Amino acid sequence: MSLKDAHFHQITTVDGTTAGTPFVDQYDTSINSDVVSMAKYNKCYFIYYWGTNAGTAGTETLTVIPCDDADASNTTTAIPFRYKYITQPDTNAAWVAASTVTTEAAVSGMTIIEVNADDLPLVSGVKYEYVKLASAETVNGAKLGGIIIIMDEPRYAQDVSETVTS
Amino acid sequence: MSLKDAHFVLLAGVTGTTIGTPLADSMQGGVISDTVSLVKYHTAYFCLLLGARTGSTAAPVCTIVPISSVGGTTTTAIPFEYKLIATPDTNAAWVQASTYTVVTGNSQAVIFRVAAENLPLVSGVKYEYCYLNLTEPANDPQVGACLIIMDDARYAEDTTDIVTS
Repeated sequence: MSLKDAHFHQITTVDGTTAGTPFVDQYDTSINSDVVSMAKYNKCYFIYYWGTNAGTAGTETLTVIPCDDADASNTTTAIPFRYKYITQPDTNAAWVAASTVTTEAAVSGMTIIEVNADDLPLVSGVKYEYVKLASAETVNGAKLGGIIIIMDEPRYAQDVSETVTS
Repeated sequence: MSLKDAHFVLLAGVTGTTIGTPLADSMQGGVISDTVSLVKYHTAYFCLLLGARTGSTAAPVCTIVPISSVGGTTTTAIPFEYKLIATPDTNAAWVQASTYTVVTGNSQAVIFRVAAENLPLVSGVKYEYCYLNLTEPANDPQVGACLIIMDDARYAEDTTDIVTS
């Protein structure tokens, strides 16, 4: 299946709590993406992008956290993923397997995080089917940035896809 | 193929000229996205990502413009499909159109899907490049960005070639 069968997600940013729509100093201190369900998708892509970066030095460390529900009532150890860094406008690096990644210290950049449903853990017999991207600021950069999420490789195609946030 | 074989484009936005990385007044006076080549891809997706908005009078109008090369000659806008995303993730069905007027409001995403089959032949020359064009009837600043995803690659590569030259 191609991207035409994907499901797109962009939450309104809540400063300091949830990252989504483009926002000034989006990644200040620490912030999470929305929590999404992979129940109907094999892949989840977090697209982490930014423009301005005061002094160009700002960086963040990204991890992928499994959760037991949409409210992230319980979380567990970060899981492995693959990432790809895009140098503007469109120099695409190869996918790299990792458990954590630090974003590039650059003005205008994008890091794509690919999460595979096969990597979601079983915790005390319960499958943690939800994930979120956690961003922890390493060097303060006051980036104007955002996060969109694309759910890809659905188990079956639908013209109107269901929400993955509840 | 899935998104793992896609190619991603995020141009540095320039206020009043180009839309790419996030800007505070992302569509000021009318802007265009980066120009991308569909030579190696069946589909291009322009993802218009909008945040907070000031005012509600000016609704930007979006079209897809074919072009002979980067910086080359343009021709008549071509049809596309679009999908509206209401925050956080209510996904509407794909809709066929030749122009789309953005709803004035905060926090929304519009995905434009361009098929290579719709690129025109002009005087015997295939216009293999295109860009997203946005006109702004009146100035209503809105934080926004546009990223482009080239999908349905003709063949998969681990490291993809650039599509912007």
